[in-house]
Amino acid sequence: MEAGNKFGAIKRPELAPTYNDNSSSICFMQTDIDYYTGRSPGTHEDVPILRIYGVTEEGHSVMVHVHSFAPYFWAECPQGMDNEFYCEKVKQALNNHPQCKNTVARVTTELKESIMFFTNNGALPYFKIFTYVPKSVSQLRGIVERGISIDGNAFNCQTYESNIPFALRYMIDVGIVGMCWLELPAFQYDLRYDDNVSTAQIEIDINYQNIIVHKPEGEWSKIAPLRVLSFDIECNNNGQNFPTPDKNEIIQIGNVCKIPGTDNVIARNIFTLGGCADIADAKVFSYDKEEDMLMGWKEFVLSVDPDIITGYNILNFDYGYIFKRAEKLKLKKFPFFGRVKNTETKIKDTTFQSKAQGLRESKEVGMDGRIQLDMFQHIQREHKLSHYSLNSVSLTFLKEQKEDVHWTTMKDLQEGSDETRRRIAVYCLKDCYLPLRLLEKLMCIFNYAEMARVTGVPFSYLLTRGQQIKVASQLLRKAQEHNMLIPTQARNEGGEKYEGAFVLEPKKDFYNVPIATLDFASLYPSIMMAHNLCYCTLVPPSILGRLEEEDYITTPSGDHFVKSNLRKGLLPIILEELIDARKRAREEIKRTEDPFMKKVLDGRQLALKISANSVYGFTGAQVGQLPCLQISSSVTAYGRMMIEGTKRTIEEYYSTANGFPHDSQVIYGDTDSVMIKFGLENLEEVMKLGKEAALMVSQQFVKPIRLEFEKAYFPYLLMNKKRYAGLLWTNAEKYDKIDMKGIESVRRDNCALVRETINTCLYKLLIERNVEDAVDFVKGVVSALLQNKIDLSMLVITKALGKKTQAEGKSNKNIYTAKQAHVELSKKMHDRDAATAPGVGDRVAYVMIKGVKGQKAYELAEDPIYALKNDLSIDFDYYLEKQLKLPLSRLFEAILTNPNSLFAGEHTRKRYQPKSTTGALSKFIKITTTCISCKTQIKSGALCQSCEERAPEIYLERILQSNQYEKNFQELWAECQRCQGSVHQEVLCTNRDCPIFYRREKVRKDMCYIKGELEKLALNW
Amino acid sequence: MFADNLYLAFTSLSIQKGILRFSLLLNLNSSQICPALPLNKMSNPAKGRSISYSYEFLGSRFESKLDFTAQYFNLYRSRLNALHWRSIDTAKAQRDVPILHQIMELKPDNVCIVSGVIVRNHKTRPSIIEKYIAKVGTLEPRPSCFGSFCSEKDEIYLEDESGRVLLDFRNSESDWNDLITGIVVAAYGILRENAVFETLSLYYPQVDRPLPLEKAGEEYICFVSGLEIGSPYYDMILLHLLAQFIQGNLGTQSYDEASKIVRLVILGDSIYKPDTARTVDRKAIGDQVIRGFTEINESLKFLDTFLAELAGTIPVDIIPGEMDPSNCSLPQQPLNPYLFPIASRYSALQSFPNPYEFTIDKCRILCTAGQNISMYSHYAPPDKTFAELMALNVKHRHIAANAPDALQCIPMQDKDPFILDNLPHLYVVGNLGSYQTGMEDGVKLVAVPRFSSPGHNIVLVNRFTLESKTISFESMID
Repeated sequence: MEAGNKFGAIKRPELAPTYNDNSSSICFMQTDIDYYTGRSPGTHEDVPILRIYGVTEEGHSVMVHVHSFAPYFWAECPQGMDNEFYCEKVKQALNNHPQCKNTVARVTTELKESIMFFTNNGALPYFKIFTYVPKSVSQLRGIVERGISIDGNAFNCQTYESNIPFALRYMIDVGIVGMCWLELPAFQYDLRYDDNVSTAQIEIDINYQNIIVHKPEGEWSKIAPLRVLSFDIECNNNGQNFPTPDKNEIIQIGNVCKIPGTDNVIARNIFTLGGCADIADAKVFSYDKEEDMLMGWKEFVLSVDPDIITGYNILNFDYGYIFKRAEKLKLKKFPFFGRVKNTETKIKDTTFQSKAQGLRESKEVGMDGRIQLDMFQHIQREHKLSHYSLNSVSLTFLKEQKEDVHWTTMKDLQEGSDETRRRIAVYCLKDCYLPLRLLEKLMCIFNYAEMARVTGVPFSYLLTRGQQIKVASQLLRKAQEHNMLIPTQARNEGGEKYEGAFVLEPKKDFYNVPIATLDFASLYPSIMMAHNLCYCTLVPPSILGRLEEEDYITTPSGDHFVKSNLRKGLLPIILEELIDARKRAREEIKRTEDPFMKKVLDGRQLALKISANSVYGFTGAQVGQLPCLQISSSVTAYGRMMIEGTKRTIEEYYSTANGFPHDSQVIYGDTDSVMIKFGLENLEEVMKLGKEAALMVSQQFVKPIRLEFEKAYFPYLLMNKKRYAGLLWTNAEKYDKIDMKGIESVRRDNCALVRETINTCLYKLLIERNVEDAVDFVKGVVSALLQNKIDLSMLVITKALGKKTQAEGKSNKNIYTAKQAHVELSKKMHDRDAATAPGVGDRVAYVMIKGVKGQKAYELAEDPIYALKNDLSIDFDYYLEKQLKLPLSRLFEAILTNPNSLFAGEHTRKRYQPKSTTGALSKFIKITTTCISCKTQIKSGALCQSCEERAPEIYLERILQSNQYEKNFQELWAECQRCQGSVHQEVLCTNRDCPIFYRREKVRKDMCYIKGELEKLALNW
Repeated sequence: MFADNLYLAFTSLSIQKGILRFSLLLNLNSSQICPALPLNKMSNPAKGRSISYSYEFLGSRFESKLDFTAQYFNLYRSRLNALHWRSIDTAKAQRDVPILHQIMELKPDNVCIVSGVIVRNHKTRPSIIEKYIAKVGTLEPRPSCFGSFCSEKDEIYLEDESGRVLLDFRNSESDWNDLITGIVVAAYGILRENAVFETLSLYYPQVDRPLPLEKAGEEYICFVSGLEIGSPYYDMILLHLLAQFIQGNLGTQSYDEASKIVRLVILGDSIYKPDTARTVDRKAIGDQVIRGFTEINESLKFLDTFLAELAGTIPVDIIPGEMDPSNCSLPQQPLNPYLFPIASRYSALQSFPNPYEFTIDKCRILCTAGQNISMYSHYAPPDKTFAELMALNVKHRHIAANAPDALQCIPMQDKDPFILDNLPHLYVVGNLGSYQTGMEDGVKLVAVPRFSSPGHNIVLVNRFTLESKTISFESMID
C-alpha cells in the first residue's frame, strides 16, 4: 500500500508528463532559499550550492540546486594598489594568514563609490575578494580590518558589504526578491531522476546565470497554492504537575492542512493514543503505542508536505515536547521533517532582540524548506493585546470563544473511554483550527509575501529577523544599481543621544467644541525626500568649503546635505519608489475584480507603507547596521520646526485681528499632528476651516511635505501628553468612533470594574457630553463598592503565573524576589487541592480580601470561587486605592480641579461592615437570625415586626431579583453549552480568561441564596 | 348568595399617575364569602348557570423546585432518551433502511436512519459574551434581540451523546427552515465524503392521537390572557366590564353566552410589569437596583379583588406568565396564593404552574402563557403565524424545544416535562399577538390574544365541539 493513501488523498497532485524531461521551461514561486556546501559538477573542492524551494502554480513542490555563485565581499583599496599585481599579493597575504589558510579564491578590483558622504571624488577602485565558502567572509572581514601586511607594510582596510547572509547576497546580485516567481528555461536545467536528495516532486540542477527572474508585477503578482499545516499536541499528566516530556506521554496530535484564501482543505485528522470514537468531520487514526503514533504522524507530515507549518506556541512548546519525547522513546528515525532527506530537524535556542520588543528568548526549528509561522509569536509581534492566550486572541479577532479543558482533566479523559478521548480530540482539533483561521483572517500569508517582495528578503527572514535587514536589503539593492558600496560598520553600543519626536505642551481641558486635527502625511519620509537627506548627500565639514552655498542646505540640527541637483540621495529614491508603488497598488485594488488579487494588493500597499516608515528608524537605530545620527536628528529637528511653524501660522492667521470671530489656539501637537481649537461650535464650519488651514500651511513647506485635514474631535478630552480621548468625526453627519490614546493601558491587569467604569465615563463624557453625570456615576461606583454591592466577578484580577518560584529550597537565597500575591495564592491553592490549582503558564485569577492586622498584602489574594463559597469579605480599600484611583484620576485630571474628591466625601461614609468569619474571634460569634429585609436581629421567622407590614413588597422585590438571576443563569450556561460544541455533554471548561466564567458560578450561588430567602418568606405567611 | 347591589369602591387605586381614568367599581360581597364551594360540581341556580363535569389536574409534572445548581445537558439527554426510539419508529414505518443507534456509527455512502437532537447555529444571533466584554472605544448600541434570527445561512446539526453531524437539506423533501435547537428528529439520508449528512427527509416521534370527543352540547371554557393590571396603555374599566360579563350582568344577549361559560382560565400576564422593573440602569454597575415592586404590589391588590369577584361565580384557574410575580423560567410555579389574600379564600380559585394541563370530562386541554411560542417566533422564519408555530409544537411533540438554548427553563435533571407524551384535544397559548386557530394531528389550536391589546378579546371554546370564538370588549366602551 502506498504510504499516502493511509491518510486519504493528501498528496500533492501527480506530475504531468511535461515534467519527465527538460524540454519545457518550469515556472515556480520560490518560498525559501538556503545553501549547503558540496561538490558542483566540475569542481574539485567544496563550494557553496544554493537551494531554492518553491511551489509551481499546479501545486507541485520544487527544489533547485543553484551552482557557480561564489561568495565575496569588498574592501578598501589603498591608492596605487588597483592592479593585478597587488590583487595577487592581497590574496597571498590572506591565504597565508594563520587563521584562514587558503580561503580566498581570487581578488579583483572594480571602480565603486562608498555610500557614505558626498565627497565629489567620483568612483574609486575597491578590492572584490572572492572566497570558496561563505563562512570565510566573516573571518576575513576581521583580518582585513585589523590589517594585512604586504611586503612588510601593514594596511588596515575598511570592508564593505561583508556581513550579508550568503543567500541574500545571491538574491541581490541576480535580482530575486522574496516570494517571487522564477523561470527555468527549457534545456537549461538538469532534472534529477534517481539521485534525489529531497522529498520535493521536482528536483533540478542549474547554473545561477540561467535562471530568469520575474518581477512581482502584473501576472507575476499571483501567489502559488501554498500548503499550510496547523497542528497541536495534547499531553497526559499525573493530574498534578504540568506535563513534562520526561514523564508524560503525548496522547493526541491534531492536524488541519489547507491552502489559505481558498476552501481547499487537504487534511483534517487526529492521531490518538488509545481508541477514539469517530468524529464527523475529521479522520481518526488511533494507535496503541505512542511510538507508533509519533512515527505515524511523521509519515503524515511528510506525505502532506506543507510549505508552512503553523500552530499556537508550537515553537516554544509543541516541537520541543515532541522531539524530547521521541528522544526519550529512542525513536532514532523520528526527527526528519525537512525537505532534505537525511537532515535531522533540530531545535536551537535563539534570542531575538529588538528595540520594540526587548529581548525575547525563543526556539528556532530547522526544518529545511518548511517555514515555521507560529501564530502566537506573530500576534505578539504585530498586535498589542492585554492577553495572548489563544482564547482571548480568537475572541478579539474571530469573535469566537473556545472551550478550555484544563490540563489536569486530561488524565481522567484519557483514561476513560473512546467517548472521553473523543472529547479531547474535538478540543485538540479546535486548537489546530483556530490558528489557521487567525492566519487567514489576519491575511498573514498575503501580507508576509508582499512584505518579502517589497523588501526583497526571504519569507523566513520576516519571522526570524528584525526590522533592519528589510531596509538594509533595499538599500543594498539600490546601492548596487548606483554602483555604490555600503561599509560594514563595527557595532557600537550606546553613542550620542539625539532629540526624539517633538510634543507640544498640551493645554489640558475637556473641550466641548470641535477640535480640528491636521496631520502631516507620512511626515518623516517626506522630510527626507524634501530635503534630500541621505548617507550619500551628507557633506562632511571638511569639504564644505569646496561647495557653492546654493548647492547645499543646512538642517535645523546644523548638518549639511547637498541638494538633489548635485546628487540625488538613495534614501529619497527608495522612498519615492515605495510611495509611488503604493499609489499604484491602491489604484490597482480599485480596478481589480478578483477578491484573491485584492488581498494580495492590499498586503502590498500595507507592506509599502510600513517599509517607507521604517527607513527613518534604520538611520536612527544606534545598534543598527548603518546608523547615521546626522540624518535622524535632522529629520526630527525639521519635524519640530514644522510643528512650531504650523502653530505660529495658524494662531496668527485665524485670529480676531484678521476678522475671525475667535482667536484660534493650537492646544496640542505630537510628532506629526496638531490639534486646533478654532473656537467655533459648529462642526461643519470647523471642518471647512481645517481644510483651508491645511492647504494654507502646506504651501509654506517644501514638496512633498503636506499637511492634511482628515478628522475633527468633538468633544475632546485632553488629559496629558500622549493621553487623550475624543469622539472622532470624518464627516459632519455621523461620528466614526471613540478614539483614544494612552488609556488602553488600563486593560492590563485591571479588574472588569475599572474597565467598565472607564467605559461608561467615556460614554457619558463623549457621547452624552454630560460631565456631571460622569462624576456622579463614578461616585456611585465608589459608594457601591464600599457598601459591598459590586458583583464579585467585576473584581476578579488575573495574572499569568511565571516560572517556578524559588520555593524549591535549593535555589539561590541571595536573590531577593518580591513575593507576589498571585504566586502566593497559587501555592495556597496547591495545598488545598493540587488537582485544580493553577500551574506554570496558567493565569491565576484572584480577588483581594480583607485581612487581619499584620497580614502582608501578598497574603490576601484569594481564589474568587473560594471567596464566594466562604463569604470572605472583599478589601474595598485595595480596589479603591490600587485599582480605581489612578486611571480615574487621570481621566478626570483635566476636568476636575481636585480629582481626589471622587474618592472621598459624603458618598464614602456608608460602609459595609463584614461579619468576620475568618478572624480569631470568629468562633465566639453566634449566628443569629436576622430580618431578611433590614438585617436587625429577630428571634424567629423571616422578617422583623416593622418589616412585616411590607411583606408582600419584600417578597416581590426578591422575586424580581430572582428573575434577573434566572435569566442570567440560562443565558450563561446555555452559552457555555453552545460554545463547547455539544449540548449533551457536561460543561467542563475552566477558562479563567473567559468573561463569563465567574459570572456563571456567581449566579448559581446567588440563585441558591435568593431561593432560601423566598422559601423563608413564603413559609412566614 | 351574591348580591349585585353591593359595591365596593376602589378609589385608592392610584397605580400610576393618570392611568385610571375611572375609579373602578367592582361588586363584591365582602361579608358573605363562601369558602366551601364544591370543587367539581358547582351550580348557581340564581344565575341559571349549571356546571356539571369532572375535572382533573394533569400538570403535576410541571411542578418543580427552583433548583439552579445543575447544568443543562441532562435535560437534553432526558429529552433524547424519551423521544429517540419514538422518532425512529416513525421513520422505520416509512423507510426500509438500516437504523443506527448513534450518530458516531455513520459511515460514508450508506443510506440510513439516525436520530438526534437538532442544534441550529444561528449566524445572526448576537453572542451574550459581547455583553460582558468591556471594550474601551466600542460603545455602539448592542444588537437588538428582536426580529428573527432565522436565516438560510444557519448551520443545522444533528447531535446525540456520541457527537454531531452537519445536515445538508439541499435535496430534502422535508421543510427544514422551521427547525430550532432542541427538537428531536429521525433523519433519513446519507453521509457524504465531506462528513456532511445529506438529509432526504425528517421524521418526528410517534405519539397517539387524542380520542374523539363524544357528547355534543354547548358549554364554553373561557380563556383570557394578558390582563396586565396596572398597565398605563389601556383602560382598566374594561376589566370591570369583563367581570360583569362573566357574571352575566351585561344585558340579556350577553347573559345567554355568559351563562354557558363553565370555567375561566387566566393564561398569565395578569399583572403589568413596569419598565422600571425590567431594565437595569447603566448606573447600576454590578449593583442591581430592583425597582417597580411597589407598583406591582398595588396591582396585585386589584387583581385580588378582581379574582375574588369572579371566583364567587365560576371556577377560575390562574397560571403565571412572563410578567407575573413568580419564577420566570419554565415551568413557572403557581402564583403564591398569599398574593391574593381575599380571593384565595375561595376554593373555586386555583393557582397552577405554567404550562398547565387538565381534563374536563374526556377533553384534554394543554395551555401555556405564551413564552414558548413568542420565543419560537424569534428563531423561526419570520412569516410563520402563531397558529403555525403551535402546530409545529404539536408536530415536534415538544412544546418548549428551544429551552434551555433560548427559552429560560429550570435545569431539571431527570425529566423533560415539555414532551407531549399524549396529544391533547385542545392546545391553547395565551399572550399572543392575535386570535388564531388551527388543527394539527387532531389537536385543535387556539392562540389567545392579550386582553390588554386593542380589540380586548377573550376566547370561548366549546368543550364538546372545540369550536372557538372571540368576544371583543372594544365595542362595549365608547
